[in-house]
Amino acid sequence: MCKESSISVKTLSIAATLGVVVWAMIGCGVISSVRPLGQGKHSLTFAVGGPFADYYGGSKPIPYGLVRYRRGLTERTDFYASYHLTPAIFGILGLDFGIAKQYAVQNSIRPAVNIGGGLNFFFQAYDTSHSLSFDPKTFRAFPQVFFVGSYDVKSHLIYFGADNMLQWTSPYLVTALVLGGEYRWSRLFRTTLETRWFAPWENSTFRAVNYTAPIFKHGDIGLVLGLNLYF
Amino acid sequence: MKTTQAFLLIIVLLFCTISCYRFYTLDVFYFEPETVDEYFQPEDIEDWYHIRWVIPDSLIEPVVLDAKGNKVYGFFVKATDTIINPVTVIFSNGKDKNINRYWGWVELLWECGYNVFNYDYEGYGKSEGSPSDEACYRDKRKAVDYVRARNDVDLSRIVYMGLSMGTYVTVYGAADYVKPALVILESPPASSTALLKDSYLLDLPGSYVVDAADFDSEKRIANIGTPLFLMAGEDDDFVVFERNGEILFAKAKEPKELWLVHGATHTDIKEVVGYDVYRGKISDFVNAYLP
Repeated sequence: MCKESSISVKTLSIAATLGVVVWAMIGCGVISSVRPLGQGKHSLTFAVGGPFADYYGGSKPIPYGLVRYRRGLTERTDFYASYHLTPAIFGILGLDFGIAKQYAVQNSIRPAVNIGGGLNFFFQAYDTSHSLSFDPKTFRAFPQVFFVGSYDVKSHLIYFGADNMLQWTSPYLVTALVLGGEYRWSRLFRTTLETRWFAPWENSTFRAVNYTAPIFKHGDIGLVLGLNLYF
Repeated sequence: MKTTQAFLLIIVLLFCTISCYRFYTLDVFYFEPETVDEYFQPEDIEDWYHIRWVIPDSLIEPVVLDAKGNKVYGFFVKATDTIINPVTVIFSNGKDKNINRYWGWVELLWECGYNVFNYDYEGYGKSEGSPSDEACYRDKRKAVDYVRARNDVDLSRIVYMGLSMGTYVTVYGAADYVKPALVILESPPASSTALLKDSYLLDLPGSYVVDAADFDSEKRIANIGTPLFLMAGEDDDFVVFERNGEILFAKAKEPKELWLVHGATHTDIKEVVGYDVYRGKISDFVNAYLP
């Protein structure tokens, strides 16, 4: 192909970063609550990861990061709240909070089922003229709903589900299909590894960024790692 | 417990404070200038610029403009003397390199029988300063003022043309500054926000990640007030027509004409169709309104 028709590697790298940083916002981090904590218990999670994109020398997950606090309201219901780290470097305040409840416990082959929902907020606190700005037009709120089925395997968890964000413009539903596992190192510390298929029904070819792990040219596979402290 | 709550509150406030400063932007995605000491040096010219060197030196006039203290360099290329009352095209470049890269377009427009003014944005080529949406718009205004001040230019026969990022500047000039007789857009992105949404699907403003958030032809295109010719490559996988050019064309008012080129990508329309066809399409459009 003519050189003039190609885009420089650096440009693609930047464009990939630009695009998939925000694709990683789809269902940010790991699933907010796979199983309830139990009343009065807390957890703190640091999660990082996202869809695979070609940037800075190869295909790798975009490092979209967040920290999440969770508290058990009842034996079956949790409250969670998160602060999004990656948008912060752009001067964007990203927060989410919500409630998750266990609707079924594991019974033989029937998985435990958690359903949760909440809101993601994004607000540009820093404007393009490099000064503080509180322009309400930059405020965005996206409802989020997730469903997760899980199996307890010798105190570790294997789970699957869907994390969905809703918006007022097309596409109205933006989904990430989830398959993950949580490994319990100790009573206090666990790690989570999820693989996500971001936007599985969206054609990911002919986009301004180079997604490197689509399935049948749709969406993009990603990886997210979570480090969880329980107390 | 109160201590813990106070600690958490401090952490929350700290995080909120951190979010109030922009450490990084993705404006590098928009601006990829290449500076030069002189234009048209052989070592700076790539084969894929497709420059044919058809314009006599005697018709190429170097120009230096002043843009808020920064020197902005350009060239005014005169139509041959055989052309009576030629159209003058102000051509705004794309986002990378400098005038050298876009001279192929200047040659083709000159071969159509037009005067052509081409300039480098601040920070590009020899032009001083740093690029930004504000700087690009300022440079466009200066370019328009310069051309309009020339006594060999018919003010009723000025055409604005832009390629890729240059289309933001072109639409801005027509909608918000001085209306030209005609507007020609090649491979236009709709806006920073549209480019971002093309990548990530969520309705988030372009200003979240770029400072050049006023690059927004979508909000301006209905106000250009002149006939529009929009061309795009059907196989453009960078600025995808369905999510950019198509939006702009739909929002533009009549009269307007669309040329969607099969097999062409972002910057190779003229090579795909051949120079004769490319010149013919532009000439047909211009002659329809400026005979």
